[in-house]
Amino acid sequence: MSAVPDSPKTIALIGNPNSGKTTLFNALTGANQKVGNYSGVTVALKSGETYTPHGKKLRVLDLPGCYSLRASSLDEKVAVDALTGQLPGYSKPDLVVCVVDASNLERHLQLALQVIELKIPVVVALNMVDMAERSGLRLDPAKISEELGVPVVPMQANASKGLIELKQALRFPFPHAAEPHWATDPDHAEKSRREYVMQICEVAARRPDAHQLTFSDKLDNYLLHPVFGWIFFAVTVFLVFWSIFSFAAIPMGWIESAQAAISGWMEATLREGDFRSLLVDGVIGGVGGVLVFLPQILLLFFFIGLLESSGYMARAAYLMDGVMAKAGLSGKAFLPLFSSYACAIPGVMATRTIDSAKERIVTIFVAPWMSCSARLPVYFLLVPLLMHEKEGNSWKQALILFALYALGTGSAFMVARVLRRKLGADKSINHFLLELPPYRAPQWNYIFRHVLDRAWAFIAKAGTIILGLSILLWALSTYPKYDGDPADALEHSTMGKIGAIIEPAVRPLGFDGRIGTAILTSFAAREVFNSTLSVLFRVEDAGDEQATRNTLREKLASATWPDGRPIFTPLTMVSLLVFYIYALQCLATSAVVARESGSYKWAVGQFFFMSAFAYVASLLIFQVGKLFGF
Amino acid sequence: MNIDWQTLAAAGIVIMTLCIFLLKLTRGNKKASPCGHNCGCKKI
Repeated sequence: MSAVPDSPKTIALIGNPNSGKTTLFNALTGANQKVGNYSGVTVALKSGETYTPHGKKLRVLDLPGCYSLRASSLDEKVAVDALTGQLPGYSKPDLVVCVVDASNLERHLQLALQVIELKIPVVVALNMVDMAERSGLRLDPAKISEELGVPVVPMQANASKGLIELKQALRFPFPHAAEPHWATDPDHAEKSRREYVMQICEVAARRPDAHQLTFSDKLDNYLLHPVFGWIFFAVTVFLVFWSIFSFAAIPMGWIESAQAAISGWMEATLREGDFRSLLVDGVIGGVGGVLVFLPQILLLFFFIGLLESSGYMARAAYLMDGVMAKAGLSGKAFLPLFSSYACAIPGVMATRTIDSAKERIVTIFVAPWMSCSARLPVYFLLVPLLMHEKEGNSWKQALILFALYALGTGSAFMVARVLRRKLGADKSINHFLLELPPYRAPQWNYIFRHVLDRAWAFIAKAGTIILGLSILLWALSTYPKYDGDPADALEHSTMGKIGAIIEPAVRPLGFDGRIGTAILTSFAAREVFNSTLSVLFRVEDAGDEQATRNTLREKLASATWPDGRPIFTPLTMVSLLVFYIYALQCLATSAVVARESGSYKWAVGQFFFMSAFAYVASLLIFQVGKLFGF
Repeated sequence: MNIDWQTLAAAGIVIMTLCIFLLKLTRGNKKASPCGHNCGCKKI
């Protein structure tokens, strides 16, 4: 019998937030979607492929988490539309795998009953049975299956346990749609479901008679304590920043050594000329100047992954709910804003979990002020210079970095509060519901895969946009060629002329034309600031590792105005740091804001507001500082 | 006028880079919305 080549059947993974859908999706498809022990990690529909035990291809859809099929938030609507076949480009799924947290059946089964009521074939994946059993729950999957009328597969998706059994349940022909015999009274559907779920739990998921505090409950007594909880939160955040500064110093040294070795080899191999200058000053100086910050950026992503995966991120959101309320936001805005510390783009995407449209737009608007990792190269360049120290293990540098983040965050909260008031109250009342998942050992494989993914994205960016801009910046600072004294060549180049034109505009901020030019070039991407300065200040490999490390800072420290005054005074550097906290210098973020807000109006308004705010803030800092004699 | 290979190579790389940037700028990035449609994000 020959096989009939028909299109693959579609299965959809649905479940409450944080039930492990994305983990199961990754295990089924071998994909690398981000996983967190936190509600709302999946904010859009993801598609992948898997195979039945008989080799038939299946299309797998990972839907965002939802508590019911009467979803109110945007990400929940995606799930409901996909399930009911209303999402263009996606047919109605042939089978739904309902992922339920075995330790929380009372709530998770409510959604399973609603899906069964749609008369679609359903398989229930009883996930995290290990944790449920550890908490003392006595599960009877066969009884649950009998009561629901659908196959129930106990599993532990993060360890790929039960995956084979689940695939067996996905064999063709799919199971028939079950009869929802509990749904007898449409007027009291929710009550009927609740009672039926309680009935199932009574016979198939029995809890120990005496209430026992789990390990997570005991830990939460301290970590959610009004005093100790905040101390732990502050210490955790500070340690993350301190670690980024200190641990990354070693791999940064390796990158710098490699950079110096390649530059040295090129200078020894090629005679002096434009091509050698392009490679050494333009490409290696520019791209290397950005790549050297890769270890710090990876550490930041590693810590965010660790906090999400362990379950602490949800506690931080719980703690922050009260703080967020002061800015007119809810705890649901915490994850988008915290993610923005890594990159504003996923942060803006994550706002889809916010129910209130007005709260969502406010969160999108202020998200770029949560200092993203692209600002780190600028901070790492300027902070040690400000402290007259070498880069590396210093609590003072960590404290300054912490203050920069705090200033951005505090300003974001203040603007959010003003904007939230201006937009007015919501038409409907939205409640903040947050699930506190049990603490788990971090899923190292997913954390490392995610960190590697970010590393590749950063390297790809350095290898494309930043490489291209470095080459163009080199050209601007080299052409037209000047035959006079080489020391005056830059002044006569295109870059020198642009700097002279914009200098009057940036001089009140304490910047000369070169800093102004570097700011101008970094409006496409902030990281370009360092490479522009490297080119403008003619930073070359000094041969010695220690000398190479500090060359740019030394050049900046010795740069002077025509009258001999130093350019990089502490006041100028503070002014520059403040400018970089507030300026929106990322085209990709603006594009995502336009898409997510549904209008270019918000993206353009945000860009001009933040740029103007950055200019005025720097101006005030510099001029007021000068008045006080700094 | 004596132009050596290094000058030509550097100028060639710069012109090529400029062309790639201009091409990217005029063509734009037409990525599909990851949310599909009708997700409520007002993207049509």
